[in-house]
Amino acid sequence: MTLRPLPIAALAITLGGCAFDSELADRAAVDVVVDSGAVVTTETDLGYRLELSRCRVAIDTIEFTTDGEMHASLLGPAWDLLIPSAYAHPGHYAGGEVVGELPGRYVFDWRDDGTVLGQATLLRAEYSGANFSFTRARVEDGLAPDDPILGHTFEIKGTASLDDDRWEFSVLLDQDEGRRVVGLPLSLDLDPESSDGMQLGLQLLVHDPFEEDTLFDGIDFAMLDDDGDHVIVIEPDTDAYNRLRRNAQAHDYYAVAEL
Amino acid sequence: MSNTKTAGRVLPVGAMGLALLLGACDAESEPGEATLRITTYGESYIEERIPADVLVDGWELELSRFLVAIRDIEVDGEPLPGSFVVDLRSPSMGEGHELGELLVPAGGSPLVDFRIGPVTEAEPVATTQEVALMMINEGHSLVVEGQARRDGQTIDFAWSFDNDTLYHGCQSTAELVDGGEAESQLTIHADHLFYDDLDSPEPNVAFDLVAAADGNADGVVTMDELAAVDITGQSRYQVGSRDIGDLWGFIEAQTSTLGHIDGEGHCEAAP
Repeated sequence: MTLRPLPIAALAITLGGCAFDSELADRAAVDVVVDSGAVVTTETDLGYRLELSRCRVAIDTIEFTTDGEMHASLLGPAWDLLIPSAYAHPGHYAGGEVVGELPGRYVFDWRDDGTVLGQATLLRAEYSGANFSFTRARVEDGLAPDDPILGHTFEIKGTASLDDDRWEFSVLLDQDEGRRVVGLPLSLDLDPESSDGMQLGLQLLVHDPFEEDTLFDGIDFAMLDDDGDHVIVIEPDTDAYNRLRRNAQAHDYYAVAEL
Repeated sequence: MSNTKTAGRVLPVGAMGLALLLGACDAESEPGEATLRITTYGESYIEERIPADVLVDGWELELSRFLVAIRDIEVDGEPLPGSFVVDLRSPSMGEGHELGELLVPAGGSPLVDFRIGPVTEAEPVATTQEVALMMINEGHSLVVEGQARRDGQTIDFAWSFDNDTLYHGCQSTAELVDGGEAESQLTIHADHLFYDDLDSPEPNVAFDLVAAADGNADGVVTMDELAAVDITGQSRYQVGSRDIGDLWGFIEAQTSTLGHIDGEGHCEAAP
């Protein structure tokens, strides 16, 4: 079944005073917070022990989706009035129907556990996934004019160790503005009447527990240390940068969990 | 204009809203019928060439054969019987190749579904029975042959694909008027095969990486050579969350984006 907003709007107009109380009962405001639980020390496929000391990112609008069909009468006016931007772009439904949303831009460090990003509006549904878009950080995001992440999507710093060698590395990583990450796993049966105090944690999985690979797989840090000073800046248009950029687009490395 | 489907027919939303508001429901009026002609067309990119100014790296592409196996065509759920193997390279003077006609209820514009996938029987269209049999026996859904040219260099390619993609919810622009004739065109966009991103709304059309895949420098890029190209270190050729690491897998994934309706109209694609 394909859900379409305009006929629902027409229905809302036709019905005039729709039952607002029932709309309220069918939605919940849920805090979405940064969950650092999966930003762990890990070992890459090339044997580097990796630890992050900074992992800032700029993202835009988190959507929450259901795989199952939802009856239009349930989505109805509440969905139409509360989540209008869900139909802003073609192809929006990839990964399921959008039935919840945290709109807005967010720049945060994935290590800052518990930081509240905002209150998402979620309709009563069985949630099975989430999506978000990458963006580039701006001064308007509340950043200082000299903040290194400005104009970039990720600011990552950390250490990579192999045997007795240790490298400090950093990278300012760019993703295309609006590039979407679709299909973050989320398992949540939301009943708005019992959702008080609920929090959803947005996770970065440095190590993907399902496929046993890592965000930094394929990067040979020793090979990047041209001058042997054990300090590495991963530059754009290099193989390492491109691999990391590609890995960071995969939904394998993200999840949303009920806390 | 956005449309909505109701009772197997697509009506303009404004009209539907008005009908709801007025409570107008004339159950006794019959919509009548219209004749809908179904065609398929590869546009000038397939029938002539993809000119150099379309490609970001200056290559020009000329296709010599573009075989596509089409089946499961439906108009608002009404099936057009038959499966077809069409050579879209065959000139159609811009008209496309006819696959058949359907008598459908008049009113609004139809939603069209079709599948590009292997066929077990097929009517040859703009090609021979032999070619159709080859597609059936080999299990191919798509065969693309052609040549790329730039600065005196030529690269030939002949690739076959077995993917199965259902294009559904294709909103045709055909207007179904009682007693009238209309056309819905299954449009195939060959340039998507050479896109350099699986998700970007504004990808480049590019051939450099494909040309560089010619490992033995014989002027022919094969499927095996493409499969040997690791794209994971490329700045372009992004794949999102798909498990694709080589150029053949990338091009194969692009084959599920070829189907459109009435030129630039979009469809939902599903395996």
